[in-house]
Amino acid sequence: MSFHTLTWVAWLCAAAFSALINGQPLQTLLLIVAVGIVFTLASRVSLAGASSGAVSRPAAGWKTFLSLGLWVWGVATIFNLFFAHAGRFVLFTLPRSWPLIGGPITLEGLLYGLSHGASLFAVLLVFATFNLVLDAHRLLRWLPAGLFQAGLVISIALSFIPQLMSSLQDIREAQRVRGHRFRGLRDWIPLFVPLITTALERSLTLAESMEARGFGGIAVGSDSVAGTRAPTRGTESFSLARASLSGKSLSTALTLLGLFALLAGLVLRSMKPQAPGTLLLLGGSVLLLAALYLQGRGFRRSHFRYEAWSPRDTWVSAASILCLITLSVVQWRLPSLLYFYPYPPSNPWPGFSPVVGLATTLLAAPALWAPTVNRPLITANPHRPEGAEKESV
Amino acid sequence: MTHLPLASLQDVTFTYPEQSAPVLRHFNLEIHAGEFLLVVGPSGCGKSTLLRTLNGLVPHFSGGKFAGKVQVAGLDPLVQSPHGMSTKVGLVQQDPEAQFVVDTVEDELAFGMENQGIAPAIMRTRVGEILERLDIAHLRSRRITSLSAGEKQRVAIGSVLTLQPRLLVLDEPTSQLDPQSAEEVLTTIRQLNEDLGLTVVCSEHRLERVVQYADRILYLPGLGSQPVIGTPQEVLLDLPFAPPLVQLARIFGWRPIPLTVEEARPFLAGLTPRACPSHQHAHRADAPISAHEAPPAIDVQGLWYSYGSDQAALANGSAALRGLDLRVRQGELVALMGRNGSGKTTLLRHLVGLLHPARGRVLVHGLDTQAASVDELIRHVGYVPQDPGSLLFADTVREELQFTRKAHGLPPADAELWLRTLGLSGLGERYPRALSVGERQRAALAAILVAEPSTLLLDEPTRGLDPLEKKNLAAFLKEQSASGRTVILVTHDTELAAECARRVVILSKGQVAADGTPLQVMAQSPGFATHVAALFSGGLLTVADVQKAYEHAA
Repeated sequence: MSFHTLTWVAWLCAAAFSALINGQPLQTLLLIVAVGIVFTLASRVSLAGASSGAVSRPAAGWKTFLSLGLWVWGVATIFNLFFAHAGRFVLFTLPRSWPLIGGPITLEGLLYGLSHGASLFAVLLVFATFNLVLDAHRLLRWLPAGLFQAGLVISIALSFIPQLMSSLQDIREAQRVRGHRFRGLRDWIPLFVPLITTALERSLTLAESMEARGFGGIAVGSDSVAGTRAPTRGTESFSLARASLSGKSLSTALTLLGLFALLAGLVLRSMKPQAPGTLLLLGGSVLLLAALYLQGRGFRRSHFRYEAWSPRDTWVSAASILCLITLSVVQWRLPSLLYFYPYPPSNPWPGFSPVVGLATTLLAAPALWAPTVNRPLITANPHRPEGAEKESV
Repeated sequence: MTHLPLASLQDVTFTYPEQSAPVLRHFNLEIHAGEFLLVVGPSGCGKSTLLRTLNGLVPHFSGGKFAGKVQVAGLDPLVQSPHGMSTKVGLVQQDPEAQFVVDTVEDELAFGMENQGIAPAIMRTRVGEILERLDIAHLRSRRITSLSAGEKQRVAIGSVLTLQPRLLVLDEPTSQLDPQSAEEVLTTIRQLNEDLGLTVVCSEHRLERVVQYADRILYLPGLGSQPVIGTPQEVLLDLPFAPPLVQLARIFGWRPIPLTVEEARPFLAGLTPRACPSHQHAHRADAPISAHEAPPAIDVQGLWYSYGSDQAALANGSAALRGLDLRVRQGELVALMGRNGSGKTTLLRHLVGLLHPARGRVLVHGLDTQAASVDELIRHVGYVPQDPGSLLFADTVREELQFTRKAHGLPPADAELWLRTLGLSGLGERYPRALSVGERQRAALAAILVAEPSTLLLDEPTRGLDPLEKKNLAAFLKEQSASGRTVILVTHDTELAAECARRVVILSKGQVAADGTPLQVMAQSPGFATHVAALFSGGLLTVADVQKAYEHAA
C-alpha cells in the first residue's frame, strides 16, 4: 500500500471530510466498507512486511481496532437510546421516576444512536488507516521548514507515549513486587514520581543528542560544510544570506499584519456576519503562511528520502479529489442528502443518494490501484538527474 | 603516530549549577589526532562532564560556571555551541535507546545530515558507507525498536558518524551489552579509529573489556586529585582497581603489561606452582552442588513462555523461554548470565509471579506461582529491578525502607541496621533520587531487603557502578548468601560472577545452556569466561586464585 505521501494526504482529506459531514447511516456504512477495504489491505501488507523484517507495527490488524471502534459505537448507541426520549415508535417505557433515563425508549432514538455511532466509527477508521499507511516522519517532511521543528517535537512527544507506557509498566511491576497495592489516589505517588523523573531524564538525553547532531537547522549564512550542501543553493549562499536577513524582518512584519487581520476579521464577523470579515480572515491566513514560508527560508534542511510519483498516485489522488469536490458540492447545494434526522416530523427511515454513494465508493481507490507487491520506500534513484531532486527548504 | 593536537582543554574549571565544588578543577588535556583515548575513574569523577565539554553541551546545555579555554578541531565549543560542533564531534551517550529521534535505522543515520542541509545524493552515499562499515547494512530499513541492544548501539554510533566528525566521543558504550556484543562493538570502534583515522574518546568502567584498544588512558581520580594520563603501560601499573591481567602483571612482575589474554600467555611458562597442587582445587567452595542438602528455594520445571499471546509463538521457536529447567537451593548464590534477549529477565519475572508459565511449573519456596498471589510470593522473594530509579520515590532513604515494610504489612523495623549494612548510614535523610548511581543502587537494595525476603533477585545490579562499588556489592552478596539467603543475580559482568557466585547458569534462547560451578561453566563457555579463566584454560578464575596457586615473583 505504498503511495506518495501527498496521495495519502489527499485521500485522508476526502475520507475524513466524508466521515465528518455524512450523517446518513446507509452512506456511512458504505464509507465504512470502502475505508475498511483499504484498512484491511494496508494492515495485511504491514504484517507481511513485519514477518520479513521481524518488525511489528502496533496498530496493525482489525482485531485491536475493532474492539475499540465497536466499543465507541456501542456506547454512542446506548447513550442515545436511553437519554433521547423523543419519537413516535415507542419500543418500551422506563418508569418516569428514574432520573434521566426514565421515559419512553424509542426506535428513533435507537436509529439515531446507531447512525451517530457509525459516524464516529467511520472517523476512527479513517484515522486508523491513515496511521497505518503513513508514519509521522514521512508526513513531517512535507511541512514547511518553519513548521518542521514544531512538527518534529510533536512526533517525538507522540513516540514518547509508548515508551512512557512501557516504563510505567516496569515501575508498576517493581512497586507491586515490593508489596505495594494501588487502591486510592495517594497510592499512585510511588508510580508517578519515578515515572516523571525517568521521563525527564530521557527527554534530556534526547534533547542533548538532537542538539549534538545539529538539530534546529543551520542558518544559511554559516557554511561550515561548504560543498556538501545541496548544490542548488550552496553556490549562492551569499545572496541567500542577505535574502534571509531581509526575509527575517519581512516575515516578522507579515506575521504581525496577518495576526492583526485575523483578529479584525473575527471581530467583524461576530458583529456583522456578511461583512468583509471572511475576506480579512482569509487574507490574514495567507499572510501568516507567507511569513512561515519566509521564516523557513532562513534555515535549510535537506531530505534523505525522496518519493516517486507514479501514475497510480495520479489515479488515487484524482479519485480522492473528485470525491471531495462532489461531496462539497452536495453539501453546498443539497445538504439534506447528508443529513439524517429520524425524529418527527421526519421519516425515521434513512435515505440513500446514488451520487453520495458513488463519491464514497471512490475512497476505495487505494485498494483498487494497490501494487501487488509491497514496494519498499524508495530511497535512491541513480537515474534521476540531480537538479531535479525534490528539495524542500 | 604524529602527535598533532586535535583538541585541547586549558585550565578548565567547571561547576554544575547549585553545587559548590567544581567537577573539573584547573583541568588540562591535549587529545592527539587519531588516538584512542580511554577515560576512566570512579563514579562522579567528571568523566561525563569532560566528554560533554568537547562538543559544548557543557556548559551550553548544563548551565553552571565555566572557566578556561577549549579548542576542538580548530573551533571553540563555547562559541560554537553543541549545534555548531555537530560536524566536528560525534557524541554517543550511555543509553542508546534514549537518543533515537526517528523510527528506522536509515532515517536515524540521515537525521544529522538533514539538519545540515546536505544534498540527498551525498546523504545516500554516506548512509550506505557507514552501514557497511558498522556491519549493519542488513538492518537498513528495520525499525529501531526491533533491534538487539548491540545493534542499537551500532546505530547510535552510525547516527553521529554520518556527519563525518573528527572526534568520536562515547560515554560508556558497552554498559548495557553482554560480553560478546561489547567486544564486537569495541572492535568496530577500534577499526573506525584505525581505518579512518578517527579520533576516539571513550569512557568505561569495565576496564578489562577496553584497555586493549586504547592508545592512552586518562585516569580521573575525582575529589580534587590530579588526573593521570599516559600510555596503558604507564598508567595501568598505578591504577587502583586495575583489570585482572594487570593485577597479575603487578604480582608476578610481567613486563610489558599484557592487555589481552594472548599477550599474557607467554608469561605462563615463567610461573612456579606452589608446593601443594591439591590446594589449587580446594581453595574455593567449589564442591559439587549436590553436596548441598538444603531444600530447594526455586524450582522451575519445563517452563515455556512467550510474550506474544498466541500458541504459534510457542511452536515456532520465537518464545522467550523454551522448556527451561532450573533448581536453586536455599542459600545458593547463582549468577544468571546469557546474551541480551536470552530470557534472563523473563525468568526473574516468573519467580515473583509477574508472569505466569504458558507451560510448565514454577515453584517458589513450595508455592506454585500459578496459584499463589504476588503478595504471598513476595513474602519470600525480593526483586531489585534493573533500574533502581523505578523503585525510589519517597523524600528520604529511610522513608523508602519504611514504605516497603508497610507495603508488606510488617511492623516498622530498624532501618538503621540495613542502612549500616549497606554503607548508607549517613544518607538516611537524603533524597534518594539525588544520590550517586552506586548509592541509589544500594538504597534500592536496602528498600527490598528490609522486608527480609529469604530469596533475593537482582537484575543487572552493576550497571553504571565503578570497580570499587562493584567490589563492595560482590562482598555484600557473598555475606548475604553465607547468612542463608538465596541470591539470584542476573549479570553481564563475568568478573562479578567469578568473584561472588558459587554457581553460574548460562541461558541461551530461553533454555539453560550451561550450569555448574563458575570454573566448569567458564571452561565450557569462553564467551562468559573471565580473563584469568581464559588464560588458565578454566583452571582458575580470579586473581586471588592465581595468587594461591602460584609462587609470587621474587
